[in-house]
Amino acid sequence: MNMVERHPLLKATTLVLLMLSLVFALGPIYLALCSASVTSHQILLHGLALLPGKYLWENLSAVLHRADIGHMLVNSCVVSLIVVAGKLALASTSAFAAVYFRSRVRHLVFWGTFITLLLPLEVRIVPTYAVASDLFEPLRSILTLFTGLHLHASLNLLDSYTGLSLPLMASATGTFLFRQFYLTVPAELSEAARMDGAGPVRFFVDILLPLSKANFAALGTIVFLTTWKDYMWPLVAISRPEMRTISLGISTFLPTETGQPPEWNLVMAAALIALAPPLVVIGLTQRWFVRGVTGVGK
Amino acid sequence: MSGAAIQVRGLSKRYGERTVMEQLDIDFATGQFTVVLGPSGCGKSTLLRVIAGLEEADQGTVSIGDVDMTRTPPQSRGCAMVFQNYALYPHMSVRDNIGYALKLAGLDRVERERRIGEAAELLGLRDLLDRKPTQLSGGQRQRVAIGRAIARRQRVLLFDEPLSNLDAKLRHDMRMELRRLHNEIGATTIFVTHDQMEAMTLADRVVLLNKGQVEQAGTPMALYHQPRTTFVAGFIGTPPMNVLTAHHEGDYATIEDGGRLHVDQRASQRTSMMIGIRPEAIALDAPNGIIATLDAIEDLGSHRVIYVRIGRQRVLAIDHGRRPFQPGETLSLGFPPDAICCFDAATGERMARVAEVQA
Repeated sequence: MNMVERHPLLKATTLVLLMLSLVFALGPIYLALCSASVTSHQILLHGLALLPGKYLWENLSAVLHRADIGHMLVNSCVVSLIVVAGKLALASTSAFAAVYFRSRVRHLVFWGTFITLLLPLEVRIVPTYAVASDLFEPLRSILTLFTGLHLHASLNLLDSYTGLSLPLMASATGTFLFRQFYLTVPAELSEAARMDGAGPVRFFVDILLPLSKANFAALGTIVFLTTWKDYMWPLVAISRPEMRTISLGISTFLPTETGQPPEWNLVMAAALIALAPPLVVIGLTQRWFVRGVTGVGK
Repeated sequence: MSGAAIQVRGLSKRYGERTVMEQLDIDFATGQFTVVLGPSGCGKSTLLRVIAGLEEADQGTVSIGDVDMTRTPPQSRGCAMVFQNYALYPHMSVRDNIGYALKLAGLDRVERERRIGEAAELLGLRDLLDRKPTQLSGGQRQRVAIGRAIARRQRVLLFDEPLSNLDAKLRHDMRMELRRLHNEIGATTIFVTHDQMEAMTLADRVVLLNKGQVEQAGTPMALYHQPRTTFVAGFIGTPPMNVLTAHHEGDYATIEDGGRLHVDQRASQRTSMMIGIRPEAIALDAPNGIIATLDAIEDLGSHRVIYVRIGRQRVLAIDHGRRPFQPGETLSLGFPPDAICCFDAATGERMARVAEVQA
């Protein structure tokens, strides 16, 4: 059976499909770019602009003047980088433990991690908020329930970088990505390292980490992007304006009161600004990202 | 560098329900090149891994250099190992692959460079030191793996089927080279393989394992000429020894539809026995020999492999002559008395000759 056909019709179909997905991917960005370059008046009259206008710079500078975009970009960058660092560290080490250590609780831990896939942040947003508003609350409840003791300690993580990033950090997807990769690393490699005198930590640092560079780039990029565009958690966890992230910032240009006209040109301009840093990240990691996702990075 | 003797005592290993070995005792003498030979699943790799410390025995002890190492972690046992799939670190250059263990052992840069240089010199890797494993051929990778092991200058060198991924020509070259290296290094060497040719050409001593037990241990020539059992007879040699069933009465063995042979054994009553004879020992034109029918001939240039039948039993013979043969023709085979091995039909063990018993 020949799976890779060199049929002209097939080639044409592939080409059409690729073009279509390109249109779907780039079309909205094009619309945003056009709409960000016209006046608010034109959008209200004619809907989203299909052709670029002349007011792109004016709109961009209006956005920069109206809101503290720079500060929001910094907030988003800090949160995204913390989440990337935390998630990469957690994912790589937990997968290392799951693959290389024999323990009776190994399967329990692994399936426990697996089950968290069924509970994304959106589903558990209320309890997550409760914990973030007082980190010691669960501990206190358990302590009171089992010992009757009352613990007087509380720690509010809302409106802080920690509170913004911690709940996004732990997730099973990263652990799985690394686990799949570690399973493809020949067992003889870890045995050779043991014979050479490398303990588990040495093996992890000297052998596994350099080998999974591509995976780090791939997961890092994906996590950066998802954290960057995350709207739900910052919306819930943040009340102080100076802690706002860029995804929240865009929404400040939406009308909050009836009667206030929506300024879609500015929303689009803000969206364009928010798009720039992820583009830079992808540009930097692109080469590794492709290798990490396709698994050709060895 | 000198080697260390290894003693394995009462070694048992099970994987779940499957028993790989039971109460195995083996000794490896200081500085000797021992080949552990056996069919797949005989436990030879397990034995090696238990000695290396990569696998834990269920029972039994391993001592290296008269020190009990049963509970010692692999890096402290004084063993270096070469793996079947080389197990080179893909992201490191040849230099770093060889030098990694030295670095972990805390050797300074100068000493490390010196040892890497020596290993590279010994294995002809001088020009490849800055390459990555992916830029090397299979044979070169194998050399790096060996270089990594010898640069550590351990007392024991362990090889786990290191040549099985190489093509026939390279395998031959590496065999010669390994023998030369061993003579220079002098570490106690254990080499695991299923290839009896490697065992014959490399070993000072061969240990043939079967189902987790030592079938026979000795020099390659001892295993070749005096196989202890029919298993050894059938495992060693290409082609292996012919083993025929016969009836034993008095000091004669009768092969069905073939004829009678004088054997150096005496049976008081009629019993069955096995007759073993090497293909190259059989004479094809012997007067009053065993009657056989010629089936086929393979001409290999240097010699011919002759396939014959004695009654219903197949026999291979090797002929260095030039006489033309026709398939279907009847031959009279000569079995030289001193080339005949007699095996007990029930146990498969070789019976001592009358002369040996009397002496």
